[in-house]
Amino acid sequence: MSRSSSRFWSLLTVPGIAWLAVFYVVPLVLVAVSSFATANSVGFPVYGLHSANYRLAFQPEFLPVLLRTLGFAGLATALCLLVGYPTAYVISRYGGRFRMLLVLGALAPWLVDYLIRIYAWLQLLGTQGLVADTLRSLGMANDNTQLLNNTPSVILGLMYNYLPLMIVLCYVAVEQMDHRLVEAGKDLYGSSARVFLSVTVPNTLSGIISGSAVVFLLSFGDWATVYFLGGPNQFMIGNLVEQQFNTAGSLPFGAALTVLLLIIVGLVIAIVSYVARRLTGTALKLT
Amino acid sequence: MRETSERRIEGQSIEHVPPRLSRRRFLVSAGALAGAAALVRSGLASAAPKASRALSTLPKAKVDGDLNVFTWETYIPPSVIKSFEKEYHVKVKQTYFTNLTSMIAKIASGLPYDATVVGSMKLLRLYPYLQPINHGALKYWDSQVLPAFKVPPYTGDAKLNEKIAPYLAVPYAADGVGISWFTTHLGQSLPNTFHVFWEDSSKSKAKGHIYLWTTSQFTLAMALAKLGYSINSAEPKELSEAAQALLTLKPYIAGFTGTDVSDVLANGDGWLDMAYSGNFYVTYTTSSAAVANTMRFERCKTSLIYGDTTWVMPKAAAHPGTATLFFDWLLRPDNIKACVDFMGYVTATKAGVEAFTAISNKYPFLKIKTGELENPKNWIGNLTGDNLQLWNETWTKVTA
Repeated sequence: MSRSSSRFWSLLTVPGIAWLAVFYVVPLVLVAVSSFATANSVGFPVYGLHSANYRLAFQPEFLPVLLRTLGFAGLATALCLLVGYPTAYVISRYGGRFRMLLVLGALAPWLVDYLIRIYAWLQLLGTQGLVADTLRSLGMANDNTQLLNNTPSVILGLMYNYLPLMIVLCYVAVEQMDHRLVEAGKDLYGSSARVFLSVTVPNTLSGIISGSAVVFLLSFGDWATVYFLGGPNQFMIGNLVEQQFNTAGSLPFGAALTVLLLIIVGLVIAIVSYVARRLTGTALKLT
Repeated sequence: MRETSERRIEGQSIEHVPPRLSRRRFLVSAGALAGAAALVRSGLASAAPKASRALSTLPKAKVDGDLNVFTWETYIPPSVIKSFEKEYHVKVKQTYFTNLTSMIAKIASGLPYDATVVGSMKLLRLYPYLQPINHGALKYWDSQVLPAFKVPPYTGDAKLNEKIAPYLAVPYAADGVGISWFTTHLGQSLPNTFHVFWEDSSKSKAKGHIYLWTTSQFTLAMALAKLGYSINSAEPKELSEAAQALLTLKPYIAGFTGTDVSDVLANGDGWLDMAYSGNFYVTYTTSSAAVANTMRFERCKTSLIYGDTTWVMPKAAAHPGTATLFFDWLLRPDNIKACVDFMGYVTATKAGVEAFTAISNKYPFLKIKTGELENPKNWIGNLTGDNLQLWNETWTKVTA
């Protein structure tokens, strides 16, 4: 490649790098810097080097929130995998010429705004909602039946929001698998279950791991689902961060929580990437 | 001089190769750029309040452009806006905020809104970003604003009240926190005290349908009142007890909702709630008669918690003259009446009290006793500095 041509291609990367630097790296650094600040009268950071926000973040009261968040995100991920993987598998193997249409169908809820999707559940699960009314008419519920403001409604919301991602990532993995391996397994008298566990699952592990990582990470940082579908005992770490910005007006403490959240997310990615490398021999690909 | 890298290849001459953007180099460069930008930004942000323009003269009441209003949704009767536009041949553009914290953040950022409303308990935080009002240019100021609200009792500190008074234009929507409930679940009458949330009989009946406010200051104040402490306590021990009391209530409550509990009242889910009488009034009067008959509200007479919203003018207002005219428009007796009828809140003005009394006669749950509004002890205070930090930490522990 000639020198001028190489320079041309290097120059083409400048807008992208500038975009990333201005809209991603700078805000990230600002958040990190703000986490060591104190708050002024309106909650804005007064910059300095103070550790008070981190001391507050490590108080024992917040441990249950962290554990609850890990639990909710883990459960939502497991359920998404349980539902998403078979769906992706069926679409890929038996969808025929409708495969793309079916994948688009699975993604359809994502064409609607995130908050509107949550509001829809609010209407469905509310005391006067369709589900409660139906259950009441079937004699399976009474006026006191609460379908909202509890852990199942939060898990349902998380699962509903992120299931399409799991389906798409698993679908890609199933599509890329060499299906002759399955036939070979069956030729060797392997039962359907044995072939599935010994051939299909290992060969689609990259999709399982990628899908699980994406769903887990998005669920881990979610706050709106709990805000609308959860009650006072479902508070997640995302809500704690949101509270600092929107209600308490304490940006520096919110920034410290955000930094800690990012560290945890980074650790999860590192662990998943390591496990993926060990199991599949390739690095984790999230897309 | 442009930087190049050199590479010697066996048996060949030196080849000049353009620099490659390695990952390490990109990260270092981007980090340096980000760090520099962050430092510049932090320097600017820290200096922002000091850089706000000095105001040597008070704005005159004359049209100097269209009006940008930053307010809650459905807070001004459309008729009042339309008549103002017609009278002064200007457009009024309303932008809505959903919570006071985000409103304060936007005003402090210097967005050029001409007029906004702020809760009385946030005034000390916002007032550095406000400009003084030309009360002399408001024709109705002297005749309409109640004497006790020329210097309002909002902060509980006479000197601070004097300090913020020049920045306050129109006392707009005062109200006390009370209890709303559905008689179908909790009976016709409840004691008009915040103890009701903790009483076994009521909390058991309403379990899973009790809503408190996500506005931490009011909910903590309610718990403090229940314990017999000042609603503006700065004592860590008292706040800790209030937090503990709220934690014991957590298994019974459905959630923390906004101060506007209209939704949970309207959909029948909030069987026992903290409520402003104004929100209750709007839901009550817009519900069917059958539903309204099952709704009750009591202002807690033994432990009053009052808050007000007041019109103010941000420092960055682009059209302070039109804003001044707008404030005077809001103080016109017919417009005050329209506002009170529209919202169900009392305004601390002569016409406002008259209009509110007329509504209260029809809806007795709205009634306010003489002297309640003027008593500084009844007002939710302004949290600042260490006290604000203490309340925030306490609330975070409650919600976590």
